[in-house]
Amino acid sequence: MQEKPKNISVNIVVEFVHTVLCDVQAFNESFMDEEVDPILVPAAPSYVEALKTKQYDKENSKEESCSVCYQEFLMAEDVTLMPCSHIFHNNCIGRWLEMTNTCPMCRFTMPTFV
Amino acid sequence: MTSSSAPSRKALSKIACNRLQKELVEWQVNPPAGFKHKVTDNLQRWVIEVNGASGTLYANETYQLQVDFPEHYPMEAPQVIFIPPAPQHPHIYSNGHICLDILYDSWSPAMTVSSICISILSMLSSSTAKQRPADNDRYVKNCRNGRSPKETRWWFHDDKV
Repeated sequence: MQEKPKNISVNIVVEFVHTVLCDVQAFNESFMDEEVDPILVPAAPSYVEALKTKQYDKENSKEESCSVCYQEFLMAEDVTLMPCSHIFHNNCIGRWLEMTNTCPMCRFTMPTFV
Repeated sequence: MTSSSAPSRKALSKIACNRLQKELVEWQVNPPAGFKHKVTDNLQRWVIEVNGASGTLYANETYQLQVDFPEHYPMEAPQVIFIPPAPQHPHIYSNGHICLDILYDSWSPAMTVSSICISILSMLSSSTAKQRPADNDRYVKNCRNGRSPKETRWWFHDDKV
């Protein structure tokens, strides 16, 4: 009669450890299967709208082409000036800032939604 | 395995096409040292041969990178993997997936295939041990259904290798 309870307790321990291990595995798998959270945050639209634009002037510009589309800037073409002074085509930088709040060239950080 | 792991194969946008044509011309004029791109008529998938730099653990070894471009490249990063067999490296999984921040969270549209290649070669060259990541088997098992590395939640913790 004394043997029985021992066996039961061993079974309980084994079952408990097994359950815990399964939970750990399930947790790991559910973690790996989760959708990726958007880690990148868009720049606040009010700040994007407030960015200065100017007409491209080859004489006074370091950049010859837009670092997003790699097309050469045309003389007097409208370009957007980031606070860090990097220039891009309006549409090129506009599309990027809708997704991510950093300058493509130097990672200067634009404000996001407060 | 490689074809099923390609991201949803939507055709390149016109902007993406123009940008890639520019990169292709630039590559032909000035290819990054140690890399060979066999130009095909498929602009959306580049297969690039990588030669390990001399004086490093991967000297005299050749590997192949597969670069798949999304519809809205360069607003989104390309998917870059080694076609197995992948080099043995603490940040490269045996299924070819590469743990490198610029391919995921730290992507910038100012980066190019050429600059990615240079980063990958630099990552290989600074390696001090030919070994797989500690969680290789578990990670590869979780990718069995052809998951793209872009769907992985990466944790970048090592800036030495």
